[in-house]
Amino acid sequence: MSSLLELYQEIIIEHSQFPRRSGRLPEPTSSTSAKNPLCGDLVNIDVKIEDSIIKDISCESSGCAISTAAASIMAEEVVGKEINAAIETCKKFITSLKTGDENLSDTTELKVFCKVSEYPTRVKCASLSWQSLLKVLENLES
Amino acid sequence: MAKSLLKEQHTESLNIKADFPLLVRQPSLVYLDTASTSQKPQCVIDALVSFYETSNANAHRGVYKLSNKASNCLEDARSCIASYLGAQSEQEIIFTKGTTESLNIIAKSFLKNRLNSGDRILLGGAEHHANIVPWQVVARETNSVIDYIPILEDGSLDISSIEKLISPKTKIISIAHTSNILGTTNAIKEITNIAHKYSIPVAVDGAQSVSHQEIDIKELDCDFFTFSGHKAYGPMGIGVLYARSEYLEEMSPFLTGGGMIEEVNLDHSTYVSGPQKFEAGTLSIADAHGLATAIQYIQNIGLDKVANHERSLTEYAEQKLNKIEGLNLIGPLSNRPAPIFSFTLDGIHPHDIATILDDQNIAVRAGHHCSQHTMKRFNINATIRASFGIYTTYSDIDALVDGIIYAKKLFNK
Repeated sequence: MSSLLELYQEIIIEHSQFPRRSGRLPEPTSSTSAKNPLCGDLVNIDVKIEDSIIKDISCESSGCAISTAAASIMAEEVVGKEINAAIETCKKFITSLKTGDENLSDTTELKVFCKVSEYPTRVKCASLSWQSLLKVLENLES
Repeated sequence: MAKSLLKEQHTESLNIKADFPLLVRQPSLVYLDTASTSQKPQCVIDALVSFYETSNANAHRGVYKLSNKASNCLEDARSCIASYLGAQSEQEIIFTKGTTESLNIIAKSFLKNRLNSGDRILLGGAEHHANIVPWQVVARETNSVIDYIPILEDGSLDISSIEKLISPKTKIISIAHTSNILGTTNAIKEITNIAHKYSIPVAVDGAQSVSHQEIDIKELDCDFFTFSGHKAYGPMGIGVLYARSEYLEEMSPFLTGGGMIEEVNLDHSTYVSGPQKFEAGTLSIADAHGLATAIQYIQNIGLDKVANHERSLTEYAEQKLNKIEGLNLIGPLSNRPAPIFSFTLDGIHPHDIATILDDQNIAVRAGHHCSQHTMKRFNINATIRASFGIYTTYSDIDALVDGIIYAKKLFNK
């Protein structure tokens, strides 16, 4: 299978066409939005945190398949996690996008994105929502 | 004539990929981003090397022979460009870094001096950011206002609205000759006719037209004309500003320093007249020489042949792209004047398409193409853009179409 097919495999296409935890939360405790001016990717992220746990999260994204799927998978991945654990997941994922190191990712969904490292211009698409969430969580921790 | 026969004959008639070393070295590359920058023919690359090997010295500074040679090289390039554009004199040709710098000079060195609070600037509705932002800056500094000529659904400019939009307060009209997104070519002559009735100068952004069709400034009757060398088979970092001589004399310097002064005293300086007033510092003479070589190269092929070749490619691409279900062309659906195609595909983001095409070694642009307001006009965020040049072939277009169909399959569309 070519790198491209490995990148655009069913998981990414499916998540981009049917993003999970999509939309806005009615009463978020924190919100952020981020833009990728190069492609016009846009993501709004709402999180609801109680007792240092991400109780709920939603992402409203408009953009390419990679950015939409990355946000969808991120939301599923971090919900229910304690803030510090989520920060750790975000950091590992962002590093894996740059290095292509599959060992940094625990789930099949996350491992798919390692292939993005072979497409440097698309790293920003995959990392947009993760970087934004990371910033929010780190601010809460500091 | 059968399409396949037409295709064969045409491919033979202008099969000049061999002149472009990058395309020869990468035979599998399908380069469809000429509107962003063109590839360079061997003669232009040779001209750059030859300048540094045989003529390298500063121009207009030394009394020695080598400096004269460099000066001649620069001035020959100026004459070549003046003659190509149909300017009255080479004294109307200023060398700049490119279209962006040229437009900035018009805005800051010409228009700003003429603007008073409440004055108006009229721009096309689908301009490149380079033909918007410099005007916004001077408008803000002078408390002036910018008006835009509307773009119709087929991508054409609503010329009928121009007379309604101009007033005694309108101090310039600036407009692209060819849109870098829509593939439309604006009727500059009609615009200059209207503008000059009211004594309004007209600036033309020729970045996308200059190497695709014959340019005759006298015929267009524009007051400023700008273009970049690198989109016209020339080197990067060199461009041109044509300014009608009376306006050129009226303009204040843009950059100041060596090379543009007549006399420098400790408390004030006087400036030379002519284009040198806008060419402070050492110009890239090699690049000017390379640009002149590029212009001679397309002149030798023949601008009519270039235009015919690109028209046939455009017709062919139009037919093929229009057949793809879910592909939406932005701008005219047929008789597209320029070889630039922007489009979207239902359910697939342009950046995903561009990555999938890149995997097949097809280079297209994806994004807003430095014209976010044009995207808004057509209610989209981004497009894919394929643009052609003299080296583009029918096979390149076939590869693009096959690539798009493959992407659709991958996305189950």
